[in-house]
Amino acid sequence: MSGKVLVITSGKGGVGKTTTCANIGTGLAIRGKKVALIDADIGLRNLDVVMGLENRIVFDLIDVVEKNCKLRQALIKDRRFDNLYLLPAAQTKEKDAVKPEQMVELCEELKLDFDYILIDCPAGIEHGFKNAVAGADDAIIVTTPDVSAVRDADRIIGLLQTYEITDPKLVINRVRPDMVRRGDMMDVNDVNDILAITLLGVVPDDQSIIVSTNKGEPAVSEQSSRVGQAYRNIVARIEGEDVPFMSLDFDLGFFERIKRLLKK
Amino acid sequence: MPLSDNGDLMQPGSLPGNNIVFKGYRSGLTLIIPEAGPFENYLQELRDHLKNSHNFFNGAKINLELGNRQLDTEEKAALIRLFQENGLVLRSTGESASPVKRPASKSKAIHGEHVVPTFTIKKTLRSGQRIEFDGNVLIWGDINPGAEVMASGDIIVMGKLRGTAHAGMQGDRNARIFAFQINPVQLRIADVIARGGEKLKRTKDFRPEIAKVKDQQIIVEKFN
Ligand SMILES: Nc1ncnc2c1ncn2[C@@H]1O[C@H](COP(=O)(O)OP(=O)(O)OP(=O)(O)O)[C@@H](O)[C@H]1O
Ligand SMILES: [Mg+2]
Repeated sequence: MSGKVLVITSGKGGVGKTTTCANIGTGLAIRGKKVALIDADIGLRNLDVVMGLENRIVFDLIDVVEKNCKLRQALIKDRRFDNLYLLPAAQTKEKDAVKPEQMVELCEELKLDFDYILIDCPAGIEHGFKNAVAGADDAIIVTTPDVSAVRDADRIIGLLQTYEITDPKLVINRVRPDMVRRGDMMDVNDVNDILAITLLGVVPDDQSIIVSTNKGEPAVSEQSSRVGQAYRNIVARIEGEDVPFMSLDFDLGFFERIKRLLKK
Repeated sequence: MPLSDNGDLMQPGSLPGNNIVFKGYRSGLTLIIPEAGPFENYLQELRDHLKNSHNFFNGAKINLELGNRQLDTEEKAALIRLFQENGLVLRSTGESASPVKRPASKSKAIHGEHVVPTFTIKKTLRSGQRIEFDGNVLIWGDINPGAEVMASGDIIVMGKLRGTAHAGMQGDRNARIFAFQINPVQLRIADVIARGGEKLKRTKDFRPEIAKVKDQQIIVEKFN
C-alpha cells in the first residue's frame, strides 16, 4: 500500500483546521479507508479532544520520533471506527522537539499501512508548519471568508510552492449565507478570485459543530446535519467523485459560478 | 535574486556570481550562495572565509539566500554545523523565493536605442512575495494583496493588480503601471503615492487600465 499524506493548514489560527481534519478523517474512515490522523500541533494538542480520545493517550508523536515506543504503540484506535487511528501531539514538550526529517520518516512508515495520513498543522509559518508540511504529498488549505484569513492562506499557498506542493485544495469554512446575501461577508467567488486554487468544499457556520466537538464525534457521521453533509461532500471529492456544490441558500448564480471556476 | 520572501530589499545588480557573498540588507546580514556549481566548493569557500575573518561574524544572525538551489539534509546539516562552529546564527533561508528568471543584468543600446531590461514572471505573486528590479517588470498573473512589485521602469500586469506596485522607483515620473484591473492596496510612481480606494480616481468597469502621473497625482484610466 502507498498512502497519501495530506496536510491541513491555514496560516491564521482558529479557522477550523482541527475540525476539518477530524471530519475528513472520520469521513474517509466511514467510506472504508484506513486513515491515520497526526496532530502536529505540539504543545497545543486538541485533535484528541475533538476525536474524543484524550483519555486513551499513553505515548505521543515525540515518543515515536525519539524511539521511546513503537509507532504501533502510539497509534490510538478510534472509539467507533476500527480503521481510524490518531497519533497525538505531545502536550508538554517543546515545539522544536521534532525535526522535518523525522516527520518525513514517520510519514513514509505510515504510508505503508494506511490509505490516508492527515496532518493537523499548527497555525503560523514557523517551525511547526515546516514539520507538518515536510512529509506531505498535498495540502488542504482551510480559510474563513474574511480578508485576513484569506491573506494568510495566500501566503501559505506561496510558501507551499517551495515544498513542491503546487496544487493545494481549498476548504472555505464558517460561511454564513445570510451575511453573504447582505454583502457583509466575502462569498465563495470573492475568495476564489484571490486564491485561485481548486475548491474542495464550502462548510457553513453551524453551532452544531460545537456540540459534536464536545461529544467527541465529528459532525460528518451525523446523517441529518448540514455541516455533516458538507464534510461528506468534501470527502467524496477527495476520493475523486464529482459532487455538485451545496447551494447553502445562496442565490442561483452562485452554483453556476462555482462550476465555472472549477472547470477552469 | 530580486525576489525575496522575507521583506528584504534586494538590491538590483547584486546577483550572485561564482562566489559566496555576504550582503548587508535592512533586516541584517545575508549569505548568498550561487545557484550553480557544487555545494561542497562553496562550503569550503565559506569555511576559509570564516577562518580568515577572525570571529568577525561571531554572534551574527544570518539570512540565507539560495535562489533555486535545494539543499539536501546532509548539506543543510553541514552548513548549520559550520555556522555553529563559528558562532553564526541561521535566521532564515530564502528558499521560499520560488521560481525566478534571471534578468538580463545591464541595459544595452541597440541601433542607438536605449533598451531597458525586462524581468518576466509567469505566476501570480502571493502575499509576502516581493520583486524589485532595475528595469521593467512583466507579470503573467495577478499581484495579490500583500505582494509588492518595485521597478525602476514600467510594471505590466497581465492579470489583476490588487497588491502594491511602485514604478519608476528611481524617480521616473513617466513610468506607468498597466493591469487588466487596477484595484491596489497602494500605487506609487516615482515619488507620488496613491492609496487604494481613497485618493485613487478610477474607472468603474474592469477594462484594462493604466496608471500614470498627471498634475502631481496618480490617475488610473482606461487603456485604449
Ligand atoms: N463550521 C463551523 N461552524 C461553527 N463553528 C466552527 C466551525 N468550524 C470550526 N468551528 C469552531 O471554531 C473553533 C476553532 O476551530 P478549530 O480548533 O478547528 O480551529 P484550528 O484552525 O484548528 O485552530 P488552531 O489554529 O488554534 O489550531 C472551534 O471552537 C470550533 O468548534
Ligand atoms: Mg487546531
